[in-house]
Amino acid sequence: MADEPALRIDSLRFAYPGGWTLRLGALTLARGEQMLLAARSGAGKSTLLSLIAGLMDPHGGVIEVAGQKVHALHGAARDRFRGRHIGMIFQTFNLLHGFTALENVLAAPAFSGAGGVDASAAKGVLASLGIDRPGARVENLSVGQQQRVAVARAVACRPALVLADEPTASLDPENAANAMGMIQEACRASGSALLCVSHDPAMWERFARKEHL
Amino acid sequence: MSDWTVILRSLSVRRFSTVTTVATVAVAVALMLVLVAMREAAKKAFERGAGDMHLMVSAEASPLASVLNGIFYANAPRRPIPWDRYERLSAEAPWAYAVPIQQGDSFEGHPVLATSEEFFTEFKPNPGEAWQLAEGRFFTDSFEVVLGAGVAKATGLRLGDRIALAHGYSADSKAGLRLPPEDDHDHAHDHDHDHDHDHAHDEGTPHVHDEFAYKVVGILKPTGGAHDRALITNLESTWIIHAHDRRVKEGETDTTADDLIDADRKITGVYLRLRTREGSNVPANLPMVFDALRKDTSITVAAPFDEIRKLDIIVGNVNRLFVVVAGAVILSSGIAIMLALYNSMEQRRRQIAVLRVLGASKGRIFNLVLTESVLIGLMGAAAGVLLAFVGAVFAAGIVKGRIGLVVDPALPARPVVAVVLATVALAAVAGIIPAIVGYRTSVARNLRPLG
Repeated sequence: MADEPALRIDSLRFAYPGGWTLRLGALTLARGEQMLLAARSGAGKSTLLSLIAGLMDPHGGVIEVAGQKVHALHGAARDRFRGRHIGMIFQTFNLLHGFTALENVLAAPAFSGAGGVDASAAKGVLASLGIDRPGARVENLSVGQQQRVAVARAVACRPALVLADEPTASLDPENAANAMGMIQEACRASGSALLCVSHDPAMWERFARKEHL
Repeated sequence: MSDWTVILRSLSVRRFSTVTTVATVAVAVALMLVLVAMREAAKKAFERGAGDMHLMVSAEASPLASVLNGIFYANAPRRPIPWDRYERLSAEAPWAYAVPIQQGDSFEGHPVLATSEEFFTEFKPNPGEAWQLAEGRFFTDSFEVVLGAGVAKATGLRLGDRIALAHGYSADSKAGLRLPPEDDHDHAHDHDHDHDHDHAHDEGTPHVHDEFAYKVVGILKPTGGAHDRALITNLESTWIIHAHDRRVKEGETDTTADDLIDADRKITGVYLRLRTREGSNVPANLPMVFDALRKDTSITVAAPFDEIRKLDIIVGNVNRLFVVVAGAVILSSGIAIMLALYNSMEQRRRQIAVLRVLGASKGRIFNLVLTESVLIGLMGAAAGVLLAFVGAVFAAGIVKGRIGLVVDPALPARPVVAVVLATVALAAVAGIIPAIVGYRTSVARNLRPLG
């Protein structure tokens, strides 16, 4: 499984109820590779990420993550696979409010059953991203710190693939560049491939591999 | 991080909703438990009240009124029994005792029971348990009074205190007099004609027999029965103070035992117990004696335990209605749990979606919401048990104050366990719909702007 690419998509087809159809012929992302998928609003990039994460079912084609056909799995097995092998970073972070930074990071291994991520390891990941108050509730952290917690949560289980959906859309250019740098570095450190979708032209130069949807 | 962390954090984030829902359940559980506890305790207290007597005779209109008035002091009996009828009654059957009683006076709202010394030596307030003194002694002479444990506690009267009784009694009446110490008077229990007393009293105010001082000579230990709130004295004292009222109208100013005529010697009831074989409490001749006494239409004969059972049947229907209402309140608290959780699901859709992204299955989300509901039910039930204990003590005080029944406010274990389990089960059922909402939450749609 370790030799398999982080992501392989072949002949993907998803039809919306209104008739519009998302098609993607072939896409492969090697282990540790980072790629930017640029798309205008409404092009279907969020749908594509949901399909890759197994949150939606395609009408045709194959999606493999770390050699596993995602949609061949069903129910709890697919959920656990997603938790272990796919990290997700959102524009609005989607942290669990009322929980501490550490609990947000530990939620990933707790629900996916991924081993090897205890409190000490989770604190280490947070510290590497500059969070020195792991016991603080996330709503009491600054926006920048919240984003770091979200990144730490995405890479805590050292997933094969990290999906980032417009992670810098709400930031000014300087902070956007810093944030993207942090995400890319965190993925490199955890050995995870990164598929980032963004309509921000400033991100274009930060990726060696980029494509339009 | 465990599922419990998620559940507790979820409850903590919605603190106000959680506390109000738990409080709703707690009040419902407490209401149910207090009703059940009071029902059980009142039943036991009624059963205790009759002591070891087999029968009670009075001149009341019905056996139930006879028991309620003669044993539980509900109202002052109005119809007397002449003393010679009592003397004949004493010889009519092989009685273990035939204790005469006379009621109708009170002190500060507490009823007075005038009786013979056999009340203390023969009648047992609880089967197998004789009277016990906390202080002092039983009366041996006229104008001596022994206080029930509740009277001593409520009035603060102590040995040696002197009091004057009031005619008639009701729970609202506080009539009666506390007299100066004995040294200030010429006689220990004699009439004090020098101090100002006026038989003319306000309309509706009980007449105080302030010509006669009673001395407190004993205080009883609690029995758990209605007699705990009575003052007990001898018959002669009572006959004298009532004869004095008659003699004042006749122009006399002084009354002693020598002045009593047959018409003054009246009682309002008799506590009766037949002789029994050792080890047996119910004599074989009880039905026969009961029927024989009933032939005399001038008296009413009651078997206290039968009357108490009848009362329980009458009151039981009302009790059942109360329990049904309390059950409906618990049911509505279950609906409150469902509504609180259901309304919270709208705010929690994103959290659920995130948990799903992190690897939580639909089944696990269902269990999380259901466990949260059960936990609310459990917390509410636990708080309700505590509240019920406080409520039972409060209700016991009211029952004692209003109808004079001394009830034990302890919560019986079986109903507590049953109500707690039923509440938890109800909470689980109440959590099903919110749990289904959580189960069916669309992840992609609720991770906007991802979707």
